[in-house]
Amino acid sequence: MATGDAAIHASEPHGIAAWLTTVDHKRIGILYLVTAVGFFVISGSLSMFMRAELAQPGLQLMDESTYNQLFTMHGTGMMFLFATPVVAGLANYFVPLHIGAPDVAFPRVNALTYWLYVLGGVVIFSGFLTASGAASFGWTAYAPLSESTYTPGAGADLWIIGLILVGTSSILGAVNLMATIFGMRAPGMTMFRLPIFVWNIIVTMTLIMFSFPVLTAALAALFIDRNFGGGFFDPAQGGDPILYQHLFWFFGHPEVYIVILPFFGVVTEIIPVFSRKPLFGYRGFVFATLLIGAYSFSVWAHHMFTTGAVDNPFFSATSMLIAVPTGVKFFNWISTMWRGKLTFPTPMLFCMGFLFMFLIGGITGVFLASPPIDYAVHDTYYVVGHMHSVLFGGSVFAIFAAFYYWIPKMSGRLMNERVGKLHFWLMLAGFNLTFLPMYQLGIDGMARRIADYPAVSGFEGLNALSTAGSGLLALSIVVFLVNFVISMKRGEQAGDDPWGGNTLEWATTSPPPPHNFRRLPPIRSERPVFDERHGDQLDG
Amino acid sequence: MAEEVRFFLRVALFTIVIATIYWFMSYEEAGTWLLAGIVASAAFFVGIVGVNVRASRRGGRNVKALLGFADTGPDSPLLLEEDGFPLSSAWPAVVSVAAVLVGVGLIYGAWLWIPGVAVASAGAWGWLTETE
Repeated sequence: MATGDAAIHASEPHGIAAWLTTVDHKRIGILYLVTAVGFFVISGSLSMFMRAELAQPGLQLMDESTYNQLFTMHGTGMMFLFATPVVAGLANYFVPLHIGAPDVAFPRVNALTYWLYVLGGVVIFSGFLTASGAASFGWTAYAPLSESTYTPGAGADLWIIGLILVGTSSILGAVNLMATIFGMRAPGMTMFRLPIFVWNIIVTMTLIMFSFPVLTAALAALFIDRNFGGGFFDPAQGGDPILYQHLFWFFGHPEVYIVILPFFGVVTEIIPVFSRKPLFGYRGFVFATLLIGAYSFSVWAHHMFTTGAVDNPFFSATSMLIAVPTGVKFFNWISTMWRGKLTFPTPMLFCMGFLFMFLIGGITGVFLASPPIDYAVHDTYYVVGHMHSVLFGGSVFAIFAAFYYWIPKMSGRLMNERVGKLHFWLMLAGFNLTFLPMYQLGIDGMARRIADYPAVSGFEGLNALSTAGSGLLALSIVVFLVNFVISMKRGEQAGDDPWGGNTLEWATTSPPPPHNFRRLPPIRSERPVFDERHGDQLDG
Repeated sequence: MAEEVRFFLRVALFTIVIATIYWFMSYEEAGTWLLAGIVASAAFFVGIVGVNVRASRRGGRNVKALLGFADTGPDSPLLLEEDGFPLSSAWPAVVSVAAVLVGVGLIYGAWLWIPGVAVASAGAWGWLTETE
């Protein structure tokens, strides 16, 4: 690092107060990521208790009520307090760097989004401290189960208020990032020179702006039902429980794309770097992303096939169609690697894991889009397996790819490669051991969200296998955390551009100075750093 | 037309088609209204983004100055001169604490939400009067 940059870093405010009052996008990004990993560990620990309970028939560790609270808070924590905030964290840190901007458009609003998120998360989990316990109706909170008649107590209300705070944070953050991308691009950074990660963030933030208000409205109506005598979802008062499902899934299915599209972007940044080739079909990839985003608003009621109250052929057709642009992306990735000079450091390994594991989730999703199959396996462990293939096999593998790829930029130190590869293989084995048996359990008829099953059901062996796999998954996370702590203390210096990257974050120091850049290379393509590095050969 | 505007225009047009098909296949009101909401939101953004893009184009090189870049030639590296972004503020944290007090106060009573409103007012005042 140059002496001038060292002086700039020395002038940064230090200490806890500096972190509590920061409005710098990079620090807020780091706060988001650290807090999200904290919620990941907490929510993952809840799932370990659930898997331990299911390892064999009979109630060993907890009663049904406690089990209901655990799966509710596990789902809520993973979806709202881990996966979505990781998107916010990565976008906060890297979008301004990718577009050559000194910060986000509204730095103080950015800080507000972080604090609303973290305090909202605390409010949600504080339900465990109430007499009635935490919310226990599942992360979907279907009415009338979530009405006060069937789920009394403050834990459920804290869940609703906490989620409204977290949702407000997401909406404000989305507006802020959109304003940043549309209004603060460096000269030369046209829309079709944006890194693919930024395009995916644009689509994701649009989904957030259009879907989270619907969730907020549904939760507000539910809160009014529970506390102020409303009857939005209560049939006895002329309300409609199916309306809640429409509102929830109109948010809920775009939410799946909110927590997967940014990671499509991450993988698309990493694969060309380690293939030593430009991305195959940049514009095709962008339009496939737009199409996925647009379709995601037309598939919501495939979650409601078995209600008998929705138009199954319409939602079946749109749900199957959404596989087409997703397939286009797979061809983009494969064609980028084709005849490339491939290397497989840890970030690339996690990308490979993502491709295969997400493919399992995608294909089983096409099966579920067929109403006859959905009727057979609805609310069984098949759905649990599918969901985790998409969200763990897809999002979480890509999240770790992003961590190994970008932590050197954020910290200035490389993660240990050997331990990183151990983390990858443990996670790959643990993931498949945990979730593949769930498909068979679902086909065999094991219902989800149950704390126990009969000894004569034949579910015992596959459940034991799944529990063993979850132990391996937990071990892989411990390996990552140990690697992170040791690498941050003793890791090799990363330098400005350890991977030979393409995008603008690699044109500045590691970590970047306050307001990011001392200078920017000319921007003439979507790979400005590559252009500058190899400009003479390109001109020749 | 700027790509930023075209982006939201595509969303609006695509959703109009989907909403029309959906209505005539299902005659289901909740979903159709939700889709209509997307169309209206996208149309709103077409307008607001369009106005902003036009204003920034009229400003021409002011965008460069706003971002703090020195006025260099088209092919030379861009140099960052100075910036006017804040480095710290306590008010966002204060406002979010107020939001929690008001929200939780709706469950537990006025002894929480009244202080929440007071803290929110103080936070908003501090935020709006804070200098860069």
